[in-house]
Amino acid sequence: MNNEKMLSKLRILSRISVVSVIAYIVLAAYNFFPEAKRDFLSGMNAYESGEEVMKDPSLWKVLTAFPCDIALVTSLVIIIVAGLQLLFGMSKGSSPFNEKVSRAIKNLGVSCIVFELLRTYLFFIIEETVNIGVLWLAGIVLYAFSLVFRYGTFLQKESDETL
Amino acid sequence: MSKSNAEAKIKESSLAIMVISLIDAALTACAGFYQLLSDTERISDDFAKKMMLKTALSNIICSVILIIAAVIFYRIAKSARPFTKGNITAIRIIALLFLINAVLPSIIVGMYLGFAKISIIGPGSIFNAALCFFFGEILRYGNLLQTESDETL
Repeated sequence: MNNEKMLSKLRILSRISVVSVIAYIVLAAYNFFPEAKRDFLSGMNAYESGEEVMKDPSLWKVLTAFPCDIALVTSLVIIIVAGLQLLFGMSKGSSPFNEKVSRAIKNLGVSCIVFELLRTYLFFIIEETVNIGVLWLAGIVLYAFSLVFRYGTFLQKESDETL
Repeated sequence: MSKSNAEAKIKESSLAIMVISLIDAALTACAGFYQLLSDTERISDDFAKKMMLKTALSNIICSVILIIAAVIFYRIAKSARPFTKGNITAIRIIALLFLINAVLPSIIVGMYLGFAKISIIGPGSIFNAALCFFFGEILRYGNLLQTESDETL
C-alpha cells in the first residue's frame, strides 16, 4: 500500500473516530446531567436544612478544595478540547505526523496526569482515603506518544523534502 | 528539538514507562490471581461471587496487555525506533485482547447467572480496542516513512 492510500485510509478512520467520540460525549452528558442536577439539588437541600456533609472540615481543606475543583474542571475541559483537536487535526491535515497533533497529544497527556492528581486529592479531602486510578499512567503513555509523533514529524519532513 | 534529541527523549521515556508497566502488570496479575484463588465460600451472595470471577478474569487479561505494552516500550527504548513491524503486530494483539476483555469475562459469568442479569459488552474496552487498531494504522504509516527515510540514507 502506498503513502496516498494509507493517508486516505487514516483520514477516513479519523472522521469515523471524530463522529464516534462526539456521540460518546453527548451520550455521556445525556446520562450525567440529570444525575448531577439531582445530586446538586439534594446537596443544596441538605445545606439549607443544616445537615453537615463533612464533619468539622479543617481550614486547609476548605481553602484548597475550591481552587482544586476549578482546576479539575479546567483540566477536564482541556482533555475534551485536546482530544477533539487531535482527531480534527488527523482528519483534516495531510499527515497524522505534524506539530499540531503532537502538541495536542502532549496537552492531553499532561492534563490527564493533572486531572488524576486533583481527583485523588479531592477524594482524599472528602473520604479521607487514597484512591489512585489509572489515568495518570494513560497520561504518561500519551506524553511518550507525543514524542513518537514528534519523531514522525521529522520523518514526514524528510519524506516531503525528498519528493 | 532535533531528530536525535527526540530519539534520546523517546528512549528515556520508554524505559520509564516500561518499568511502570511491568510493576502495574505484576500488581494487576497478583490482584487477579488472588481474586481467582481466594476462598469465596464465605461470600453468601452468588451474584457477588460471579462478579468477582469476572473482575479476576478482567484483571488477568489487563496484566497480559500491560506485559505486551512493556515489551513494546522495551523495544523502543532499545532501538529508539517506534515504527517497526513488530510493534504494529503487538499493538494489534493488544487491541484484540481489549476486545476479548470486553466480551469473554461477561460471557463466562453470563453462562452461570443468565445473560439477562449482566451487561454482555464492556463499552470501555471496545473503545480502547478501536483506539489501538487506529494507532496501529498510524504506526503502519510511520513504518512506511521510516523505510523511505532509511532507503534515502
